[in-house]
Amino acid sequence: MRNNRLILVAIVFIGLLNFPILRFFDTPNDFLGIPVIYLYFLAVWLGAIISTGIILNRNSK
Amino acid sequence: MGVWEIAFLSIAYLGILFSLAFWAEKKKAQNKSLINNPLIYALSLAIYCSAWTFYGSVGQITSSGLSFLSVYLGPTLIMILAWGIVRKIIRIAKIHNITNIADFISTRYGKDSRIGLGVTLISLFAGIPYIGLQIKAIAQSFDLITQATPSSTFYLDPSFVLFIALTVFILVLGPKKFDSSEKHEGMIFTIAMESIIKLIAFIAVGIYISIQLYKGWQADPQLANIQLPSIETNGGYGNWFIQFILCGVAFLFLPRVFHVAVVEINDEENLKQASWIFPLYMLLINLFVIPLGIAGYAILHRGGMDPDLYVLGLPLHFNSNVLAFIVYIGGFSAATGMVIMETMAISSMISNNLIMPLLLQRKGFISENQTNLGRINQNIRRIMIIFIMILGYIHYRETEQLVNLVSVGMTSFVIVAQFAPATLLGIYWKKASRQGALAGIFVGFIISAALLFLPSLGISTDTFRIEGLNPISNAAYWSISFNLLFLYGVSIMSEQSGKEANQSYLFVDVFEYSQNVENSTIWRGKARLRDLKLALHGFIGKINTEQKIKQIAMANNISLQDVYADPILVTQTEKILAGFVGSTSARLIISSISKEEQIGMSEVIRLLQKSKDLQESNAALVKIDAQKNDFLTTVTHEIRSPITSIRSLSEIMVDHEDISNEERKAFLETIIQESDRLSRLVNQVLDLEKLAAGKANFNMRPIDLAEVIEKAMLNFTAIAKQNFVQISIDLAKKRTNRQIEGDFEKLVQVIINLLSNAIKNVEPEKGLIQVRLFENATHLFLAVEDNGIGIDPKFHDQIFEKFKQVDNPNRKIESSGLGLSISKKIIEMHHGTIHLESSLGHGAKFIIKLPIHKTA
Repeated sequence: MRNNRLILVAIVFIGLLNFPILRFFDTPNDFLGIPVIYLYFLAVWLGAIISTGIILNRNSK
Repeated sequence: MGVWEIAFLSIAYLGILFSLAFWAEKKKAQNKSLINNPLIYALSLAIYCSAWTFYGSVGQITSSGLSFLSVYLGPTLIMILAWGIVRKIIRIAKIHNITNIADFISTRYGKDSRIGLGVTLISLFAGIPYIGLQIKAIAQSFDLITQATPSSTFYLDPSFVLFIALTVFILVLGPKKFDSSEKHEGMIFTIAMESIIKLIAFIAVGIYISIQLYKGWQADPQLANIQLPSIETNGGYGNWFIQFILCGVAFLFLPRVFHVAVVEINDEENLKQASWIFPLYMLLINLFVIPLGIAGYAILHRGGMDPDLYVLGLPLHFNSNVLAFIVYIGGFSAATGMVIMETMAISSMISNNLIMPLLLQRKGFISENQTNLGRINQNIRRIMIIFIMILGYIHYRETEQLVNLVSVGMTSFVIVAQFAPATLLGIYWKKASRQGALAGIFVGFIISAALLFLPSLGISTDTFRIEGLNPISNAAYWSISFNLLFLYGVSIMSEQSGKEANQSYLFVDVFEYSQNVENSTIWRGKARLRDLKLALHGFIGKINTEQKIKQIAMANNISLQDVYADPILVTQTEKILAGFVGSTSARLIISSISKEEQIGMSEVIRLLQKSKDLQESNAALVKIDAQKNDFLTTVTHEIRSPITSIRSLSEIMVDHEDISNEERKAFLETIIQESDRLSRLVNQVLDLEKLAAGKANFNMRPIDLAEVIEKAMLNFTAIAKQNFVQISIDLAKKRTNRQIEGDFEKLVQVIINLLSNAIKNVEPEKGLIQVRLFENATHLFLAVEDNGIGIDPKFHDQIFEKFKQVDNPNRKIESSGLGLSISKKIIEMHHGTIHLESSLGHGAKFIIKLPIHKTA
């Protein structure tokens, strides 16, 4: 169960960080001086880190 | 800052690290491990972030934008899956006492020495430039911060002094003699501390430069116009995807990462936290790459500075010497950490898979040096560390101006990624064979080396260039595809040997077998106990040897009185030796003192199966025991109630002499009924136990089921009348010639049981019980159907168990709950089956199926 969830996170992680979804964020625009693509990477990355942490450390087996 | 000042401070820093290591070792000796916690484990994984991360990321962002992030996103992907993949590798390594990636792969493929050797040489080939890169980073940052020009004579170069100091540091903390698990408490602790220092240093300079950048920005808005090349325009999504996967795969197979992640872990549970802490670390250390890159490009680009030095150049530009020194130490930490662990890991591979096997195969070597092998092994490793360090240094001196940090790193990645197919398929696919692994690794390595290095020798490889892919992705794509293809293709075409098959089972099903594997003695042969002890002496000392042998003997109930050692002892000794010298060499030592018999594949599986079966039958016994307890509780309960009523009725009659004769008669009748019930119960229990033990006498002969039914009805019609229940019998095929073979009386008992069961479930006066007999070509069927309240399907399985009574508010007749259980046993003795079709409110139908007697 736990492993299935982690595999799902991994698949979503790969999906979000590659073509074609990545293309929507791969622009030269910036937000408050920070490139959008960089913010996008950080957001997905942090999302994956948090989900992994939660899945592995919840008490349920 | 002065040259010797910085050199001295650098060496002093190594000194501090050394004291930390020493302190950690001391704590360990007091059983207070500093490193057995998830945070230190995660920080030690950050050994992955070498000088390449510290200096190279900023260098790369100025030329190719954010594509460098795949180097960290790939490993993040692996960490998401670590609880599945990495934990499996850790468990396997722990069971087999595996201490490096070469041993891991060769152990999986039947302890094949050629695979171990191949993996070792490839790791060395990929590792040297990578180590050279770190030395380069140390030297360049040293030259930049001291403003010195490097001397062309190497021994006059101050960075050479640092190189010597670092080598000594590794030698002192590195190979140990009396430790089979290859755990380096002190070293791991210093690595974790270095990880903290490099992170703090990078974030500090990041924040400082961001503030400077923001100020400059306000003064000169032009700065804000520097734009990053997008992923699409810089290499495109194909390159991005391949590098993303490549970095993830290579991450785990870098010798240093494998060592800290797999060999040095103390507790699998640490992985749970590390799986998110380490990716978070990588995120944090990349947080300020963009502002540093932009500032470096804006300020230092015109001066012609190497982009790999921007991180250190920036604080120097702002004249912040303290910060520059912190950055220098951060970079120094990143580089030294990598060098320490990489040389350690590669030296153990070379020793285990190349030098020791060569020595051990020399005639007479083992017998001459038996008690000295541990020291020899330790010295070989030391020499190998010096050898690797010198190669790294030469590589740095020779290629100093040629390459940037990232391209060397990526080249190494493509090469070590060749280990991934054999390892990952090896732990999930039993058929992966030794020949397949050899072919895959060999072909993959040749292709990657050709595509990566031939162009620099002036030979074009453009024919194989896929449009849109850069040389690294292109090499990765071709080499890994062919590696997989050969591994798969050769594996399905080749036969595994018994030893290989054994290992493949142990690896793939590690979580199933890990309790048995200690004792699943696959080794068959003879070795003298004395020889085993001698072999261990050389590594763990005389006293420890005696202790260890006794420990194993105690745990496995082995006698130590025989001249020849028990096979378990031989297996365990080999495992201990493997911790020191690797599986190939351990096998050589053991085979030198023993005669081994070849064992076949089927035997291997049988042995493994046996230990698994034992476990299963043990579980079954526990279950039976619980059932027995249940049974006893119910039986005593069932016996108590008739006894209670008999006793109380008798007491009343004794105490009250004045009760009327009618009352007395009624009491006595009840007492008789209850006694009947009691003896029936006792008989049933006895029957059941007889049946269960197989002791019941069956008088088997060809019989006619219709006669059985008639006999049962004879006994039962009165009871049916008493309960106002109607019974209809439909023997459509009455007097068919078909007979069954069985025990007449026992089958009558079954039918009575079913009928009484039915009577209990129907309402008086409305009740209808139908008994039907029918047949097909091979079987006779007997159905007993009632129109009572029915039985919920969820109880169908339980209903045949002892004393299981489904709650039924209409129950009028006492029942022991044993009838169905006995019936089922009797029918089974007749090779038949009994099953129930019913649902709540629709009555119940028991169907008995019995095989037709052949000769009839």
